[in-house]
Amino acid sequence: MFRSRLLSVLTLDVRSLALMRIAYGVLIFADILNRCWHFEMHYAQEGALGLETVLRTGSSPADFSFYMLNRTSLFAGFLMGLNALAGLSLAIGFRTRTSTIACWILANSLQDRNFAILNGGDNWLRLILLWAIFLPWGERWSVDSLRAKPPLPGRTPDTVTSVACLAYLVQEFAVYFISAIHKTGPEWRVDGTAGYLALQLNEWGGAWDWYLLYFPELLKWASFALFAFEVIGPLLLFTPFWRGPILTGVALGFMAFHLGLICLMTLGMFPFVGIASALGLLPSWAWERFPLKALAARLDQLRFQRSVWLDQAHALKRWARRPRRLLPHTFWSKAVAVGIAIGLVWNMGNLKWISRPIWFHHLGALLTLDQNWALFAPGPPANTGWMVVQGVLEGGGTVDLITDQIPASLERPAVPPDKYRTQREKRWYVVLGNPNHGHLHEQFCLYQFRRWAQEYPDRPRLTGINLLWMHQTTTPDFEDRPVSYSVVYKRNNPYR
Amino acid sequence: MKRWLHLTFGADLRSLAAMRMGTALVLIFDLLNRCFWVRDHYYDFGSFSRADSVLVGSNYIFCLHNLSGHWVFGLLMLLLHLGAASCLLLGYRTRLVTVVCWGLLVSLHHRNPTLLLGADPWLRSILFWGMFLPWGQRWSIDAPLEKEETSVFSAATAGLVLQVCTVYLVAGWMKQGASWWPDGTAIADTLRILEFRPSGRDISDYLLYFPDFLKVLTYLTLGLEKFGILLLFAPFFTAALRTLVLVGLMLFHVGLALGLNLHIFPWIGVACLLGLLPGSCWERFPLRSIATRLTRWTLRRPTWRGADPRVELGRAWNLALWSVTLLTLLWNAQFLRPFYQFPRPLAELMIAAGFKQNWSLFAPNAPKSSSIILPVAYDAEGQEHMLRVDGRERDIFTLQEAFGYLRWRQHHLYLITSNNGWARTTYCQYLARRYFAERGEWPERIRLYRVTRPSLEGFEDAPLRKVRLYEFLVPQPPKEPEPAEAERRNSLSPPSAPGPGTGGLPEVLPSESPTPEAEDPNSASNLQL
Repeated sequence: MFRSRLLSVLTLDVRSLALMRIAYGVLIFADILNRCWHFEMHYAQEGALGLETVLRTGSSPADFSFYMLNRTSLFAGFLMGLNALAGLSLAIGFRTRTSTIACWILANSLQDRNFAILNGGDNWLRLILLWAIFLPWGERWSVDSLRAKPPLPGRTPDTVTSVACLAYLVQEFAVYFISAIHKTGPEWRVDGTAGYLALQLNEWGGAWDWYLLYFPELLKWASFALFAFEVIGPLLLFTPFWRGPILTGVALGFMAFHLGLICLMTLGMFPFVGIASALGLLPSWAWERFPLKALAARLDQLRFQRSVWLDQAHALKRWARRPRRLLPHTFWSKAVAVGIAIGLVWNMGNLKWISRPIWFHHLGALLTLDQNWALFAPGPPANTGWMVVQGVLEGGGTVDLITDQIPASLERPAVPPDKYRTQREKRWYVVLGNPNHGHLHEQFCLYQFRRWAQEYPDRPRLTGINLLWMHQTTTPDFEDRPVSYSVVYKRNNPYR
Repeated sequence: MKRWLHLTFGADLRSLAAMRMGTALVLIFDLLNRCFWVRDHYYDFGSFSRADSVLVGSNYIFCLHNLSGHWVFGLLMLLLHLGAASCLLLGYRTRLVTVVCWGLLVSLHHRNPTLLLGADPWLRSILFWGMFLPWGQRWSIDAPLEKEETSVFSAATAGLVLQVCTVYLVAGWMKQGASWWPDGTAIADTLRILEFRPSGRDISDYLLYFPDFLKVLTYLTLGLEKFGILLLFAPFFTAALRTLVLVGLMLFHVGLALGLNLHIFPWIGVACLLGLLPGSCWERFPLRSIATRLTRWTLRRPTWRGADPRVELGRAWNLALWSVTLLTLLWNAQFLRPFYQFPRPLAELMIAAGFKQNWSLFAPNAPKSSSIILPVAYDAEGQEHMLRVDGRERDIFTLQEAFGYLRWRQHHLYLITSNNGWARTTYCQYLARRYFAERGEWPERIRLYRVTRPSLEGFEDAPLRKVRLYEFLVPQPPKEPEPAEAERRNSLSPPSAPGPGTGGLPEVLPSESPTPEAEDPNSASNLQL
């Protein structure tokens, strides 16, 4: 009795995992497409971040990145294409384990290629991918499942109990719970001003957040509620009683939270990763109830309908692999257990509860278990700003090289993140705005000089670039915030 | 005519097998040496990091060793390479293993090109031709039990022969200096170069007592390289003359190994020359017994057979190999005719595939001086500490004992060249780290001096000339060095500086190298010879 209750904590539903797999595959594919906007600037050797700069400043020697094998942008493009393909193949569940491993390796490689455009979502994505290698998330609704004989749903049990499930649960737990521990500021725990401060941030603000500012009391209680949910929600993941309803509630709560983030803030992939990874938490209980039951029936039927798409899948079936589960007491389940421990120790190091020796850092980087969930912690910052890359033109006049608008405007844009084409570009400029990142400025400016000369040969040439960080300080009581700026970096055009 | 072609451009299977074993032994020796220095040479915190490695060479370079920058990864790659080299020695799955050995070697050379010697391109090219040669047909686990033919003729054998000839001909014809002809002092000059002194052996000192003998040796060497090698293609007495030349060259290489510390260079030469021996050699006195013994060993091999190493090159492969040979010849021609330039894109491809070679060995003259880098660290009190090549402290500076491992000398030679000045920063960072590891505190600055000692005719000591090459201000790290990873993959919180990265030291200061200025040689340290 006790044992079965305990095991029920380590149990996940394969249909939820399959849903999560599909979401992840689509997400990876979409992310690669999104990254292509800034391919030259962010990934090419002749762009703003050469390999040597990455290796000198951003990486640990234990990182492995396939982007380091060759320095041409052709090769980087090839790897990104491969990554997109791996994402697609993960989504349709073709050779799922191989695809998962490929996605994981390529995601790590890509994230080590450019460290300056990442946020917590990328961390989360690659960690879940790592654990998913050991999860049977290709068992349902996949090309691989067509290989199963007989191809009937219900041949394999709907649930899976393994150490890898624990790893996944602990990972979800860590993201929220550790993040709550990091939030030690009074903004979260005493005043409840965190929501207000977060919505005031120029870096992350969305188009609709001003509306919420009309309801300060709501914001205050929302902050407290969020903090409380971040503490209680993850703890409930391990409940041995009423797992069905509770887990469904927690998963829906996580998703609702991330939906809120999508509506209110510009956080790129982060909330989408959050929703995708919460999908896997849905218990069997949920699959027996209204909307999911219908969905499952639909998806199960899909394989018996003859359609063009499915014929393609049947053609792929020849190379597909029958999914195999991770068996307990094998080497890999022990390895996963060790991995969970390393991840937890890593987080404890982040919290400064213990100090990690340098070899442990290398180990964490090698196993890609390094993670940091200090999100808006200890509190949301009061200082906030946006970037103006002010190019000085020959014969007077300025241009903002982010938007290529003449003249460069120092006014606050209505929605500052909208100034940038993608969230990753925004992240890049936020990193660049930090004067500590001096090593990135030079190459970036040189790249902008080259780009301007190439793209606009008929416009006046650039004589120099000023990197201006426009900043505001949020005041507690909804006052107007004056804008000031600091010159982060100056560079003359050496190509003239 | 056909017989002559087969005799000159073909190869004997036993000779090829001997070459395989020789090459494998040299490769194993080289890799073991490299393993010993893995933390110094193939580590992001070492003397040449991946960040430097991605900047050099051509765009087409594909370097597997750059996958990760940790020395453990480097060691694993070296061990994998060693495993492949051992299989090559035993002739197990020879073809596959040769491909692995060659690919990993090219990649290894791209990882740290500062360490390369003249021997390395040679080793690379032997392994390249080995991929297409049936060099696992005899004296190997793969060897077939029934033996039909003993010799082989293909584009690969011809390529090998031409490659060997190119080495000696180019080396010979580039020796245009007066010290080779007419003076004949080149070998004596070479023996006076202190970096090449074999440690513990005074044979080079002893030889210097016989200048006339050295003169004769110089002429012999030059004659052998310029004209003697052409006897390989003699139209009559081919086998005999060929044997004679090869034995002469092997003796020359053995002499090199005795008199100079050239690391694997002499031995790779011997291994390569073994492959050209005509088949009749293996039926005569000294080699015959070796051959018999090896054959007996082959017959007693384990029952688990490897792959069949028989090589039938198709027409496309033959054509490809002929063009490789042609390209190699053209490449080498650019050294003999300075006005001829190899086309750039093709050159980049050749470099990436490991066909970069330069046989100007001690040409046009043997250098008349020894010159190395002396690193000096200054601590917070301004006290000087002379450092060894690998950053350990030393009391007395001598040119002679500077390099136990010749690849360190190559590294210094690389850094001395002004074009490669950018690579000095990493070396200084490495020295600072080693200094810290030894003494527990960071030096304030590190200077690299170029120390030159002209070789004089007699035996008297020449004055040392010391020139400052480069100065590196060591950035003093914060009190609590925080590792890089904690903050690197940043979360939603506003960004902070990424960690020290591969520095371990924090940010590197602007590294304009100060103009070299002559310094009083006696001011700095107790220089002593």
